[in-house]
Amino acid sequence: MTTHAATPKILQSDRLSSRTRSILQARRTAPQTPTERTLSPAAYDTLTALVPALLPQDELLSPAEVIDLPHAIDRALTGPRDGWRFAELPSDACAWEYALLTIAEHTHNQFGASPHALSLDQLGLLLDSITAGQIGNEAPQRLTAFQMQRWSSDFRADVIEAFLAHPHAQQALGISAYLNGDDDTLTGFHNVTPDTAEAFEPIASTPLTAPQPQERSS
Amino acid sequence: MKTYPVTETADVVIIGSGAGGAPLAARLAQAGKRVIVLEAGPHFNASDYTPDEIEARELYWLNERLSGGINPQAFGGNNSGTGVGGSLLHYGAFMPRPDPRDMMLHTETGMSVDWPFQYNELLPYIEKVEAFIGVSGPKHYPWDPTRHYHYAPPPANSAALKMREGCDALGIRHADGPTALITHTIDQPHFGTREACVNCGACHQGCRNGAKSTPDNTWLPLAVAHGAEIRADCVVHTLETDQRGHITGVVYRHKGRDIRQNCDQLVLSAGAVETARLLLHNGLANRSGQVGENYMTHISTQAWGVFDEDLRPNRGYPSLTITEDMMRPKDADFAGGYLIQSLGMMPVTWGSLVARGTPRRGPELARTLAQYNRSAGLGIHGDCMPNPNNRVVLSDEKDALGIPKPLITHSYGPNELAMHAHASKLLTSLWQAAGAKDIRILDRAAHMIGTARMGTNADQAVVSPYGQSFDIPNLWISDHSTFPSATAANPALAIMALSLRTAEAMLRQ
Repeated sequence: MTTHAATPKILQSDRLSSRTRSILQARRTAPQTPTERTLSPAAYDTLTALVPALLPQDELLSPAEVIDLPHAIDRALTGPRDGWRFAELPSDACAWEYALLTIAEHTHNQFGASPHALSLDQLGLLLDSITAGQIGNEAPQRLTAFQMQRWSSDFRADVIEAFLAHPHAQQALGISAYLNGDDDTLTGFHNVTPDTAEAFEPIASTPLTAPQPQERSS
Repeated sequence: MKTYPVTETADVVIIGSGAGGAPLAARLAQAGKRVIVLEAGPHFNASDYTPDEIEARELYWLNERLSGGINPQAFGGNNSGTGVGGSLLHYGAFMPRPDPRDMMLHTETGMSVDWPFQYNELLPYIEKVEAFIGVSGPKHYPWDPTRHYHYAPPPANSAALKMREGCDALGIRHADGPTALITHTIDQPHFGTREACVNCGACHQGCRNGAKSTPDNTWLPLAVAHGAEIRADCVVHTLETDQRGHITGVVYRHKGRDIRQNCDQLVLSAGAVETARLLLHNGLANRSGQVGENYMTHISTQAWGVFDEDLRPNRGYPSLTITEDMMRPKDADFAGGYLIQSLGMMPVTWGSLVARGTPRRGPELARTLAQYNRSAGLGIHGDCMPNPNNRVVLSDEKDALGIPKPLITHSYGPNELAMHAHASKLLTSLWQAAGAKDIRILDRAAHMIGTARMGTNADQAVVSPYGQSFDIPNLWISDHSTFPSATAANPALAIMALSLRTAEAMLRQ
C-alpha cells in the first residue's frame, strides 16, 4: 500500500537508478501496524505530538503529501544506525524511548495533560527548554536534563533527515540531488552554476523557497 | 586474484584496505612479498552506489562508537569507512598538501609538537601518490608555484563561484583546490576504464564512474596484479604473539567463523580509532602508554548562507575553491592556521547540519529547509594539537564480537577555540561580501587523527618515524594514527605518502 499523494515527478525521472528509485519508493509505503513498532505506545504517542512542533510540514507540503515522520523514525531505530552515539546516552532505541517518556512525564506533571493536549507553541517552548538542558529526571528509564539536551540534537537530526530523504520533500523543495543517472550511465550535471537549472530538474512547488527577506542569524 | 591457504604464513598481513593499507599493499606486492589484506567491510560494486544519503551509510563504519567530551564528534560520515577501499570510498576527495610549517609547529611557536622529519622528506612520496592516483588542480597554485597537477580542475559550481566573489571583495587569494578526481577518461592499469567526473556531486555517497581516485580503482588493482590477496568481510579481533612478544598472526571473524592467519609482519591500517582499539584490546605495543592518546580532529567550522539565486548546492564537485591565505593569518591569536574551501552539499547531509547546528524550530525551521536550493557554504580545516584530555579508550560496553566499544573523548583546547572564533568571523565576512543572507555558523570537527603517534623517543611515541612499533619489531602502523599533530590538510594524501614510505622501510629490513 502506498500513500494517496500523487507520485512525485522525480520518481518518474529517467535519471534515477533502479536502486535509488526503489529506495525512494519504499519511503512512501504505508505505516506498519502498531505491534511492529520499536517504541512503546506511550513513547510513540509523544513522538507524534512533538514532531509537528519541530517541523510543521504543512508549511511545505500539501495535506496529501505530509510524511509520516514518526513512523520513519521508529522504523529507522530498528535498523543499522549511523555508527555512533553520544557517550552519555544509552543505545539509540533506549535513548529515544526514555527521552520520550521523560517528556510525557514532564507534561503530565507540569500541565496535567499528555503532550497531545498541548498547543504547538507550548510544545515548541518545551523543545527549547530541552535544548537548554532544563528538563530531565534522574530516575530509571528516564534521561537527565544533560542527557535530554544531547538527545534533542539526535531528535532534531533524525526528524530533518527523514523529511529531506523523502521524495515528497525533495519534489516540493525542487531538489535534483538524486537525479544523477540511470543504471547504465552516470550523467551527473552539465550545468553547475547559479540560475541554470536543467529541464529535468524539479522546480519547487512551495512558495517558501522564494528569496526571503533578511532573517535573524542564530 | 591470487589466493593463499590460511595455513600458509603470509609475508605481510595488512589490516585495513584504505589510504593507509592500500598503497603499502601495492608496493610490497610489487616487491614480491606475499601480501594479504584483511578488510572488515564488503567488496562493493561501484555501479551499485546510490546517491541516497541514508542508504549510502553502508559505506560508513557502522560498528558503534561512543562519542564524549565537550565537543563530541559526530562519526559516520567524514571519518571511518568500511568496505574494500576504506573511508576513501566516501571521502570528499579534497586533497591539499600539508603546509611544511605545520610539521614543525613546535619549533615555530613553542606549542604542539614537531613531526620527526620535515616536509621535504614526505614530498617525493606525495608527488608519487598524486601522479599515480590522479589529482586535478590549477595550472598555477598561488601558495606553491612549483607544483604541477596532472588533470585540469572540474568546473566551479555555485558555491565555488560565490567564494571567489567573497575572496575578491576581501582581497584574499583563491584558486581551484586540489581534488583527487580525474577530468578526462583514462585506462587505469590493472583496473580498466575510469571515466571523467560528470559533476554529479555525490562524492560522499560513492563514485559510480571511477572518476574519484580511490584505493579500489588504483592501489588495490595494482596490488592484486602483483599477487596480493584482498579478503573482504574479515573483522580482525585478536593479534597473536610468541614468547618473545613478536607478532605471529591474527584471528579474524568471517561469516561467523574465527580464522587464524599467521604472518611474518603485521601492518595496522585500521584508522585512528580502530588501530588504537585493536592494540588496547590485545594489550600490545603500549610500553609508552601513548596508545589511544592525543586523539585529534580538524577544526571544521562552517558558515552557510542563503543567496537570491538558484544555486542547487548538490550540483558539481562540492568543494572546489580553496584559499591557503589563512595558514598563518597576520591577526591570529593562535598557533598554526586553517584552509578554507567552498561547500556544496547533498540535502540530507545539509539538513543534518542545520539540525545539529541551530536551535530553529517550527515555521522558522521550515523556511530554513526550503532555502536548500539557495544555500552555499564555506568550511575550514584547521590544525589541531595533541591534547592529553583527548583520547580513545575501551568502554565498558561490548560489540557483537565481544570486543569493548571505543569511547572517544574530544574537547577543543584554547588554540582550537581561538581558531574557531577567528574563522567564524572571517567566514561571516566572506559571505556578507558575497551577498549572502541568513548566515549561520556551524561549530563542528571532522576527521580522526593521532592515537599511536610516531617519534624518535620510545617513551613518548608508539612507533618510529617509519611506523615501526618500538615494542614489537614486526608490527607496523600505517594510517593517520601516527600523525604527531593534525596539520591543516585533509589527511588522505599524507596517509598515502607515509604508507609508501613505510613500505620502503619494511623492504629495507
